[in-house]
Amino acid sequence: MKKPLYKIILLFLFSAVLLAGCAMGPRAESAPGLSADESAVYVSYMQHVYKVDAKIGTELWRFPAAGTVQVVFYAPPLLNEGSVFVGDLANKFHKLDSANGSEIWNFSEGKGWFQARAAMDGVLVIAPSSDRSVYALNADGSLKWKYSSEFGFLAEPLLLEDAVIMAGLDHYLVALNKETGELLWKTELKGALIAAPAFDPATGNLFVGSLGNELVSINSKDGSLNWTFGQNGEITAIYATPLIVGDSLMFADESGKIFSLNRATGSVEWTLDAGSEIIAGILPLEDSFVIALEKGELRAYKLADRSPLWTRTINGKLYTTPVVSSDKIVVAVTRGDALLQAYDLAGNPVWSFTPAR
Amino acid sequence: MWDTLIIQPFTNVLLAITMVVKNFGVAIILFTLLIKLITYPLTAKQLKQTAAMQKLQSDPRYKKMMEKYRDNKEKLAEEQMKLYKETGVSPFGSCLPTLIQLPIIIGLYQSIIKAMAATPLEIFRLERLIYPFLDATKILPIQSRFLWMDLGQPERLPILGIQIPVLAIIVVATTWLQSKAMEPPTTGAGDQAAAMTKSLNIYMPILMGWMAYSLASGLALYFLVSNVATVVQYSAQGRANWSRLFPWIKTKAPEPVPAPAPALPEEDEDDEDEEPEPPKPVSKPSARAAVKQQRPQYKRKK
Repeated sequence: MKKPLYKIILLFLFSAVLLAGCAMGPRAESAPGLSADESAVYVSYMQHVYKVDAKIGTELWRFPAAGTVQVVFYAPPLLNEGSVFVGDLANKFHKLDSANGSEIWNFSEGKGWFQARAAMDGVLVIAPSSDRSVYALNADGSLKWKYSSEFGFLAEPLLLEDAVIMAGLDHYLVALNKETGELLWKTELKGALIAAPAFDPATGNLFVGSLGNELVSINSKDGSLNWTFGQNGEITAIYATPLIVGDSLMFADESGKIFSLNRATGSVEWTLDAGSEIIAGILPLEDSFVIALEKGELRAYKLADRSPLWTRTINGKLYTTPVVSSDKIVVAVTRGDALLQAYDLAGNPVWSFTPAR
Repeated sequence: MWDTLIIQPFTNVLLAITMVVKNFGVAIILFTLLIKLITYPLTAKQLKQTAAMQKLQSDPRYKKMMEKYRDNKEKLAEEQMKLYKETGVSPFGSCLPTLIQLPIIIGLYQSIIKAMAATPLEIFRLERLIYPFLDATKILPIQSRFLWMDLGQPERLPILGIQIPVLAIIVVATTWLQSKAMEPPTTGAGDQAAAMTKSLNIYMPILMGWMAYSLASGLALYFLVSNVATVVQYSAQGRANWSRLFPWIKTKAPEPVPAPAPALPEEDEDDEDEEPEPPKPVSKPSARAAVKQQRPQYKRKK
């Protein structure tokens, strides 16, 4: 081989590798983040946040208009009075105009990824980050307070009257003063907490599951434990927020078992074995509920007797809790043919959405 | 199959080390060193074979053969194979250990990525990889803090308000150090392999530095430990070419690794003039002389 030719080939190969290297974004994979209002669904996936018309499945806008691989979105957007709040994996938290997707402000003091849905109370926005901090932001995006821990936060904050409840990867459920961010109490669980607790306003009790194969009821006033379910190995890891239905508490564990517990005592009312792994939360409908199995199956059951209503198979994996908008059940698909699949309440396919390139 | 045989065991060993030492950064260092230790026999074999091949290629008769059959590739290949056979040097001898090591190195890299699960989906996948006898509830999540770094994020050290990518700089330095220490002696002005090595000595540190700058610092830490361990392995084999790095150091030239074959066979009469002279003793050998001394000298049978 002649020397110049060899040099050109080497230079070409090097340039190709270097350019590929330049294109490196955050090295992380996650499931789409999904939220909905009455007429639209908002999905965060890869380089964009999309607003999609829930009736017909067409894209209304995307943010940013021209995405880059360096900025990736997986956090479910928070929707509040014409605004969309969403964090990215480039350590920024954005406020967008819900009408057109234009950015109003961004907060860039975070040092890690924003993966959880934020929460809002009046003008205060609480944004958890995997940089081990929870950020409380003012209406203009400036920092009001910050709470730091030993591990990151993947769960959505739960806002109570005076407190912010945070489920942490450090196995702790903590209550923070909403105004100052000071720690009010903390309760240790057996495993890491991936999802937010459910709150019963009538009793003031919190219900949260962990990767430690347990579901607990905790008093929101002082963090004291009411009851624990799973001590005898009845359940596996829990990745989603439990669902309060009447006097009961419903949740699915990783192995695919669905439980209904008495909220007051934690005793089992009924169980249902879906036979396959479940990561997503349960979607409640009027007199039925829908579960999304990881293997790509959407199932609806009658709430009264758990009799199956319908089953739909989807090409792809399901890790995201489905949402309802415009009387459509919308499910976000990971590694599937489409990013979103919509069904009517009887389970008939209505539309699918694949982002245009 | 790949996950079951390579990724799962590797990830579990890494997590088990993490449980023992209670520090993921230290676990990455120990795990990388452990893998380097396990693959050391393969590395040693590869180095021996490479040395034997270099020895053969630096022989004047090999060069003459290359020159003679320059325009006849078929004949050249035939003659080369004949020579390989006669001397017992396998042209693929250094490739095979590398090929065996490759899945191990890839597995090591991937298991570190798996263990640094940072999203719910990655945690779920990691949880499924953990063997039942390791208590996943106690392991997860992994504390990714190590020294000033968050091993799940690209590393920067704030110095006087400037975010300095210290680890990336060290990775560039150690990759260059490794390349220079491993650089084989040149066999002539037109040595294409040497030219390629020279180019790689420039490009590889830049590439590795860029990756260390952009990727999670846990991986950059792995690059760093791997570089240092490789240099140490080369030194242990007497193959590190320190004179290239530090010309002012009068190092004793590493002894050439003996080829697994006897000296080259007799050649035609006209080769007589080509016989290399034995190296002249030099009282104060320069770096160049030290390198020259490394070149094998074949003695002809009388």
